[in-house]
Amino acid sequence: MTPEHTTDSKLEDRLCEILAEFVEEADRGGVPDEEAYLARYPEFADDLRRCFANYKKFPPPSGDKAELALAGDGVTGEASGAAPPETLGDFRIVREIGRGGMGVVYEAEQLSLRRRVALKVLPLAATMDPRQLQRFHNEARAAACLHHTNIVPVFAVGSERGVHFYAMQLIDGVTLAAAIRELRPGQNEPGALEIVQL
Amino acid sequence: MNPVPETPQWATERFREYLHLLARLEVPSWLRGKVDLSGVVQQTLLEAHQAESRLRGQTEAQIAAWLRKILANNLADAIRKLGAQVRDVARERSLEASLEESSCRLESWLAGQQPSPSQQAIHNEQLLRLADALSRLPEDQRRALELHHLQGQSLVETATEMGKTKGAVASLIFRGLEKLRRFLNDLDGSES
Repeated sequence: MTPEHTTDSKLEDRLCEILAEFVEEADRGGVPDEEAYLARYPEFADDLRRCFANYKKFPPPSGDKAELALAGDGVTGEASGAAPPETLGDFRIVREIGRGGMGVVYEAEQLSLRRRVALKVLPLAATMDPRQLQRFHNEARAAACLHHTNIVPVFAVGSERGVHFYAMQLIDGVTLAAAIRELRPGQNEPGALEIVQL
Repeated sequence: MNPVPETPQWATERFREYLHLLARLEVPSWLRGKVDLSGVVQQTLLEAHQAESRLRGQTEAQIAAWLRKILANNLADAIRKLGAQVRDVARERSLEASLEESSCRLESWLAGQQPSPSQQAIHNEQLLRLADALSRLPEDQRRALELHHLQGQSLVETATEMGKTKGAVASLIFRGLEKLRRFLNDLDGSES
């Protein structure tokens, strides 16, 4: 790569190769044996020691790349251990109840009325699609028009900073999935969770 | 309508480099030249400024989360504006979740990985400083670190993307780390 051929730049190149070897070993998910490197390349010991210390101070996202990719997988992924958005307009998010293809449902507190609600939030990716957004609003409006003991009433619909949501009465109880599991032991209905929550 | 001041002193100004870094990590390199990231960040800070009253009494972490949300929204807008060619980039994956993930990864570099509530403010302060420090690195060192250390690409992938040898990229990574450590030490030193 480099056109220079002074001794210095050759030494430098050599050090780069050693470091590349170290990084590649770490990339593969291994924990490189630092002492072994130092013993193998004593002429670079000082440089290597400093480099290794920095590498440990600022580690790359080692071995768990697949896991990270999954965690970032938006709609279907888990919340990657990070906190949910704290407030959305009048609502303070308490915890996540569940998620599915059409959104995430949180338990939330409506601050002005001091009541607990279920807040369904349309995932950001879906707001990019006008049809999905329309569907979300239709769903909220349709549910709000209905009044029936077995249909969860809709309290409010809104958007805050481009995040669309609507609030429903929070129902304490088991999920449909849990109910089905209980009724039919051994049968685990994967789609059921979404039906009750979303 | 109030005119926007040319050199605004916004309370959220300190988040600028942090947001810029997250935006850079989010936009794939082939879109880099097409999306005006500085503009997106500026727009985000402007919107935050306009709603500043709502930020009062919020913790730094809450403000950061809120800013990430606005950023995700603006970034999505900017990408969408590019039209059909990037339809598949305006993707299934939630931008906001992804920004959050990047921020978490950044945070994992900070000492005291699980800060107590009382340390939270200091922790966030450090996070913003880390983003500032990264922004001050020479472009190629910063890029190597962002690709390898923050986006989690392998050395080979990073080298391919940057059009350099593995050795050259390794060198950039370690020189970048050394500088980063010094920046942060200097900042810590000046505080105590």
